[in-house]
Amino acid sequence: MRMKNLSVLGLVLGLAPAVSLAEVEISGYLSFAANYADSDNTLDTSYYNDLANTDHWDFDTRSNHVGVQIYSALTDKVSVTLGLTAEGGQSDYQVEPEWAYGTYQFNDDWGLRMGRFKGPFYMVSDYRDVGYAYPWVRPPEEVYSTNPIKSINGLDLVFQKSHQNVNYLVEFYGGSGKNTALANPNAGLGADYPVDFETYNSLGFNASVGTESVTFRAGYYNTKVDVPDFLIEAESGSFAGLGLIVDWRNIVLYSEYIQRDTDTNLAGAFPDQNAWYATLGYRYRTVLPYVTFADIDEGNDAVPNALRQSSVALGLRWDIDDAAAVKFEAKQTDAGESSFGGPFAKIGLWDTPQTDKGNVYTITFDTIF
Amino acid sequence: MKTRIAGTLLGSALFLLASVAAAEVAIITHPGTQEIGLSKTKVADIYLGNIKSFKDGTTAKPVDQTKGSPLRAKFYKAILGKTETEMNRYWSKRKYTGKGKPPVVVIGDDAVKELVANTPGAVGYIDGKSLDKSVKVILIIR
Repeated sequence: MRMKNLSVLGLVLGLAPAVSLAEVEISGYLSFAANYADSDNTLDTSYYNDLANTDHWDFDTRSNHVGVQIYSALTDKVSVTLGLTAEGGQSDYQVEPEWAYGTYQFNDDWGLRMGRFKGPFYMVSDYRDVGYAYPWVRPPEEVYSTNPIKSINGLDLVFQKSHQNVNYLVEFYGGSGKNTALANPNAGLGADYPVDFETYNSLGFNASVGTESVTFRAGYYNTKVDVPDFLIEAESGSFAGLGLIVDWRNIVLYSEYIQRDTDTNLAGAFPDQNAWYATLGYRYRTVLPYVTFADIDEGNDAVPNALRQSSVALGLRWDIDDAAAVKFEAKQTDAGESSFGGPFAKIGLWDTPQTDKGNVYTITFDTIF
Repeated sequence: MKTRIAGTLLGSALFLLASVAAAEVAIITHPGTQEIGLSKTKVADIYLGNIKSFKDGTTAKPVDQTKGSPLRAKFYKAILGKTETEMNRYWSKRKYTGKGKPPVVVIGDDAVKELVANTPGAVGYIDGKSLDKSVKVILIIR
């Protein structure tokens, strides 16, 4: 019975100097979703298409995620972490090593991750696919669709300290990566068209300060981008964001504001955008109803093809078990007007001008193991 | 199991005389741990990953019992004031981002004792009845 546990086995073997076995820990998460989109006008190539179908409930979308993490502490200071993930929809559950890094912990406060890891661009970016960890069915897409970078290959220096019930974190990271994003619906390709892009020479910063009830964070990330399909080379893109989480006496609040700024030549594929959301919820026993207001609009350099949409969503998270939750959400989107008018007006995250509001309905099941 | 308890009865007579019959949770540590004044708050911080080492520099290594163990539920409630759900939520944000590592999970009191007795810096919790001299006691939760 004891032998089942690898760490004890390792300990027993470790007592014999010549043999030692590092402890290996396996954990993971699974999110499964059904989505249904409802819009007057769509060619079914919108951002919402890989997420939802407008004819029927869609069970095979990129809302489906499974991840397995394998962790091994080699010494007190050195560990190795591997994350294998698979996504539904277009990716068709192709398993990829979304993160794979070695960590060297210099001391209690400073650690360095080396290898492939998920960048902390926005507040929940680095655990974006762990549905169990947050209240919504998915992180509000007005904000989270603006940064399609899945992983970075490079270095991540982290400082973490806890002092008198306040937790501090400061992180510097950088590296390169090859990623694929769904095309901007206004680019005329259809928003489910995958665009390959490469990031490099990047540097990011993430800082947060918080207690058990309130956490505030700020982050900034700048990178060079190549988009071969669009003949874009060495253009700069940056992502800045502020975030707040409150979890106090069953009142739950999540809110973020972000700005994406891109060089002129990059703006065709990835225009400047400003976006925000505010989620307010109340936890009553195992149930957490919430409302989210979200908005995405043109950024600092307004261009015609920037996305514009505001939305309101009503949702409910129900913790059915201590490691599983079911969530429901009804979201109504209102594509925004553009001062430029023309064909780009009132498209939002859909793909053709919306004459009326568009709705997205979602049910998810999230678990961790 | 029964002979084991009989064997430890003699060795831990002091504890048993002082203890109450109801299931109590004993928080234990490696015998070499110097810092004896470990408060509830400090134990909580070790289990949350906020404190990573003792004052003398030894890395603190928290050990958990398996999910569903009533000892685990009692420990989390008394020391951390959290339910299993709240702890799952806490770690699901940190585990996959490389910002924290949950305690090692071990099956049963005997395994906890063995690991704690042989790992400098280890901290664990067991049923008060399983106490013996192989480990040092920090706290008893009644």
